[in-house]
Amino acid sequence: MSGLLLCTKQAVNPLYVENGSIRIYNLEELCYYLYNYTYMITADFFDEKFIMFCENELEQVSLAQKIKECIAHKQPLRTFIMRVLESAYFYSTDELKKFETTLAYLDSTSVKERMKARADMMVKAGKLKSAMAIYKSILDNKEEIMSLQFNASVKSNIGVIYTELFMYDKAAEYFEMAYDIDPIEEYRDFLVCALMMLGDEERLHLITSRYHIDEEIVNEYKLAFSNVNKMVRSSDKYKQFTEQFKYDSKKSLNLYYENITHILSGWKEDYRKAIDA
Amino acid sequence: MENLVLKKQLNISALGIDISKDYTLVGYSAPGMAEPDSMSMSKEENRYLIPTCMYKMKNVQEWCIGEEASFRAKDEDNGANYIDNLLEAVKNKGTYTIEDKEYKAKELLAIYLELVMDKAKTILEYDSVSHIAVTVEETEKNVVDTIIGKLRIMGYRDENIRMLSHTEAFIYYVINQKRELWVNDVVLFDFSNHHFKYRRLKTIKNRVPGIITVEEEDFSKLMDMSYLSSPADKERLDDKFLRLVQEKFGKNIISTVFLTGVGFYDEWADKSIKEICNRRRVFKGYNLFVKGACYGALKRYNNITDTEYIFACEGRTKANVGIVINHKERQMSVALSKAGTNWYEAGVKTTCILDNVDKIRLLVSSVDNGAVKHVDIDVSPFPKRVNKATRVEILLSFVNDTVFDVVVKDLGFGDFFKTSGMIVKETINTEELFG
Repeated sequence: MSGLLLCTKQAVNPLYVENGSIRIYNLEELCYYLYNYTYMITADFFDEKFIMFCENELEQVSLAQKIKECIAHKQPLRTFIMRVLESAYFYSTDELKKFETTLAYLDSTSVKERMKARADMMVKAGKLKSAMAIYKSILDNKEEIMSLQFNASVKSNIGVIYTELFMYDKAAEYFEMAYDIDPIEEYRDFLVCALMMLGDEERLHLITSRYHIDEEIVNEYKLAFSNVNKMVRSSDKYKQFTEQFKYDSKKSLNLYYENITHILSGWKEDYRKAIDA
Repeated sequence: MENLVLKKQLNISALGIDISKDYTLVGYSAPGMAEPDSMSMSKEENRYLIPTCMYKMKNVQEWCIGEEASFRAKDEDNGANYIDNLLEAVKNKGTYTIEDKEYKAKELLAIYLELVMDKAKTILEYDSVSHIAVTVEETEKNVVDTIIGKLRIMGYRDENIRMLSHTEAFIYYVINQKRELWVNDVVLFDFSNHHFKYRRLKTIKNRVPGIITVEEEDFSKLMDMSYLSSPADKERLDDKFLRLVQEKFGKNIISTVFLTGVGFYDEWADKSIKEICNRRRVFKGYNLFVKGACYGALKRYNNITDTEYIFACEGRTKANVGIVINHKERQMSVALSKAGTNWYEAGVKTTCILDNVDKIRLLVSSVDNGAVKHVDIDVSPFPKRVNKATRVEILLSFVNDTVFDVVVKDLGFGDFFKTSGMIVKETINTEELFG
């Protein structure tokens, strides 16, 4: 049923969620977080700090009591989450039924699978450094055995992050590790593209030899790169953008430098956000 | 009634100030007093009326008010530094130029109010005032904003300040009298230097809650102070008044009649008073509004509870405004503003989450006939986000007793989605809405 939902009390002191660097100010945001960021949540989310937040900031004493009971009875994670969602009436019965599927997945997945899902969400949210840390901790954790495919997928995802950070050398390294474990086309193509972006022809030749990658495939990618390059360079947006870097004596020099500084600051800011700096 | 000599360290429960176009009165209520009383400007004689005027002392930034202002204006400069008609000037955002300096009317009204209260403090010798109410002929926005703004600066909190129209003050006065006086209709004739007004208070008991309504008519064109200049004119005025009384009282049962205003000081209404007094209680005085203001300051209801009746009169909102929300998967209406509220106090702010909707539905119901209308506020211009990730602030504020603004602001959704800062505004006129 669509409509308006009245908001509840706003906290003076929010609940800080370190994983996502998010502050939660009210019951609605808490429900939203639990519903949409399920894979980010571990059992230690529902700790003493959480209980005090519910009691003191949200004035949800009854909810706090239910969480205490869950802790005392060592309930599974899904029970904690459902207690909060059921108390708030923020999601409808139908929405909670659909959510059961997500929760069922939580139950049926291993710790590493849940960690990976969490890291995947972080990548989508642009939290690359945090995602990287989780992927690497999955690889470092020797307690739980993971399948070859899973291992390769994690390494490939690390490679993707390095690509986003323009670190093509490291990206190629991880794509190669992924391909070594699970020689599927996707990882092969990622590897070839990373090396092309790196501009290291010698290494590219070495890789194509080592893995018997057909020259035709390499040429296809080279052509694709070239076409994309041409397309971008011929676009109005690109032309407008590059104009900003040209100086002619008609423009004020101060204004020109100010503009360039503004662009560079924007890029730095975006990069810092990506690496959670 | 004697003016009580109050001891120092007295706490006034309620201070009432009636600012009319011609005169200002001050009333007060303190612990132990059976009813509010008026303040006299003199301990030796009863002088309750303060002329609503000001005078700027020559070449200094000082002002005086009331009779002193009138005297100085006559004595010193034939009125160059004299100011009257202050309320009208504030309403029209007027200015005055005195000694080559321009003053906004609202600044002068603020000074006037402060000087009135200084006088009150000196004469009554009180230590503090808990509640204050100012009553004016009509609660026009500029006048209300100026007075409340000044009282805030003077240290009064919003919950202890009230602005009332004369009609509201009349209601408060009446409902704090013995029930027998208002068991049927009550009439007030208000005859001042500026108007001749008729007000009739009715109590509608067969509704829940009941309604106290006041109908008003202005007969200023028919009767004014110029008729008091000669005996012949006074007689003509008496005849006019008698016909008015016979017409208005004809088929209605009226328990009590009040006569207020300087126009009734003179003895000119023999025939009409005789007619009025026929099987009715009649009271004549000048301080009905200021006493009503004192009662209003305390929101006192001697004989009724504030949920038993709502007020339907000038200055009070005419419609209930609610919002449709979902709660536990059922739709329900939540009241935002109730009819019969002093329009200045009727504003409200709330926050909601949008759940698959791009409009906010208001329910507006008329207190007159119970009719209900939907008003949909379109919020589709707001950024499209994941469902249930848009919080909106809904601010409802009245600009008078029939018109209100609804401002809806996109608040984003905490740290998940930043606010766009977008605002949607609608103005709703309840008179137009209900035809």
